[in-house]
Amino acid sequence: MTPSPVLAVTDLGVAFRTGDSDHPVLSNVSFTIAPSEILGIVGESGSGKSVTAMAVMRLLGPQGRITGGTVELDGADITALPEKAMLALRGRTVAMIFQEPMTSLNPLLTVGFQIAEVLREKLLLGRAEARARAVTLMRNAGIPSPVQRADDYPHMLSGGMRQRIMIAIAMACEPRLLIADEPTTALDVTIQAQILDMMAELRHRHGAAIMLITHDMGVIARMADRVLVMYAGEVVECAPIAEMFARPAHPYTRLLMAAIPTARRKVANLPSIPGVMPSPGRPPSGCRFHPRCPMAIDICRTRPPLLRAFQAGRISRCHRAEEMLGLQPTDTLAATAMLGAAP
Amino acid sequence: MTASVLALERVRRDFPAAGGRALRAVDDVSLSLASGETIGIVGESGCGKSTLARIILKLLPATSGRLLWAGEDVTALSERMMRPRRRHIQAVFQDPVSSLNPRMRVADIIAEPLRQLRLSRSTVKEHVQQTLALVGLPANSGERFPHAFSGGQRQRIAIARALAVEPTIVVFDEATSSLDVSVQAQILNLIAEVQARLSLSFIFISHNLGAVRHVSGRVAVMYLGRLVEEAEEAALFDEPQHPYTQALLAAVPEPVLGQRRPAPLPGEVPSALDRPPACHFHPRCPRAQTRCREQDPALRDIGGRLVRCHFPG
Repeated sequence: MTPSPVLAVTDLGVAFRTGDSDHPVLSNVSFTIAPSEILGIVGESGSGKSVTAMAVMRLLGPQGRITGGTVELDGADITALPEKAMLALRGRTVAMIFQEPMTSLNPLLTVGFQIAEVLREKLLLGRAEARARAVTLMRNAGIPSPVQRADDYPHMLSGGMRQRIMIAIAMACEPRLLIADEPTTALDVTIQAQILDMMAELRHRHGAAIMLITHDMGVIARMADRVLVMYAGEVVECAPIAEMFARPAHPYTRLLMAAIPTARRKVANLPSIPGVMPSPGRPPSGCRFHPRCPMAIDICRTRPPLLRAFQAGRISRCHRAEEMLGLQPTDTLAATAMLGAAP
Repeated sequence: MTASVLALERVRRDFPAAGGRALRAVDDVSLSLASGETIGIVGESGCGKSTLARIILKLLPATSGRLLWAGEDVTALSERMMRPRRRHIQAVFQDPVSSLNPRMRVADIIAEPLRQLRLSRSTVKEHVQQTLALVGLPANSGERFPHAFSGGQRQRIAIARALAVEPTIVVFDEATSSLDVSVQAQILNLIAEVQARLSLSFIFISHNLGAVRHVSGRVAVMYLGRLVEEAEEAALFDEPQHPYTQALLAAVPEPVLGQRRPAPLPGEVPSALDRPPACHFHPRCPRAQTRCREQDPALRDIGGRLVRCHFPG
């Protein structure tokens, strides 16, 4: 029996307004995250992974708009919630950390004050109590001498320490869901390793579900339980981590993994994907990946593939997913056309 | 013995800092680059790799030490003296958006460094077309402006500009760091291909160890301004000897499951203004002993590689 998901996104569509026209950036995005699960979302620039996060936070800005679908947090759809109710959710039920902690922190306030502010605002703690909790949160986030550091301003701390502060702020109210958008991309690898270890610990300690957005398959391999791969505003594959690494069910996933230069061995010629990702607003006909796909056949050029579910919790948006998975064509019947939440 | 096309001899660079102190960004670095060789330089933020690149390009003078281009000591040459020599060494930087003039057509961007050479207009035009083909851009690219190109294509334009003057050395400073994985692979392949075809000498500076391994023949690792290890690519990546190199390699998340994960390196890189005494790495080193805190290790030759450690292995 699987526990009910913390987050269930179903058929989500998002568009941005430019001039007089709506420019779609997400179409039919569906996925779920279970309690204390880490879902990794990978994709290249423009694939829609950050927009997905912003839609869940309902922070799309004045130009952005949810055009369809539902976003259920603990079973309740938030797509139509009034802003006031969203304000209450943000920070309490769902919190977010970003790539560049310097731009997310107020340079004029001490970091201790900024953590305490959340506790006073959201949990209505008194000044002294909030301050004491802030110091504890900093200690839990791996900040040495937290009592002294609490009086530091953001610029006095290193990038790694600032990201720890952001995590302390995000975890202040023990949210059910933590969204981390490229949390270690701006950090050096040795610091990245420390922050990733700390995030892995978070879900054990708090049971928080984590949506980890990254362009780095290495980070995915180290952290995620399941992976969602996005391309040009769509989900192209979703699978448990072991299954995906063993056998990707979409050609894009396979190429994306092969294109990574590894420090473990030298490859004579790195497999690369020709061309560039199309804009989600002006997708090619048929499958959005077909112009770059080495496996493309006639049907791929004309008919957009549906997101289909296969065994072992796997989902793929590819006409040739059966071949990718080594299934017999007869198994196609068993694969249900699906556009809903993950099974 | 192949002649070295570039040599650094005990190069040091200090920057003045508050309180009359000096920040030593590059400390006693010696390096030589053979004809047709690609050397990779890796290290984390603040290790001095980009300062080193600027010294190599002679965009920044060294505080002490010597810089030799093709055997000639250029350390003290004036900018006027440098100008005719600059075509021998070209650079490609991280951000192709800010390094290309948005108001110039691609053909003019690539032709600009050729002006120094006083070639005929038709020769320049022909040369631009050849260079565009070499980096895999469509023949009509020259007529368009940089904004019409994607990030990967812009980086191809930057590479074309660097190659147009037929340099002997190209310095790539984080040249693939802002690109997406699929595009990065295209550019890394292009760099390796061009290197093999024209047998140029490349210096490839990056924090991305996988990218460095892919293009480099020899690799140097920097920590707080110093070279800590230098070896052939396979030796360095497969059997690193310096504890920092080992930690750096272990920290890279590889896209494979079930990796053995040693505990991450504790602490952070200290400030270059406040470098620990003796071995700069000792406060974070799992192998540090009294000797490391008291005595500065020299860069020693151990079985054909250079390691700055009292207890390598």
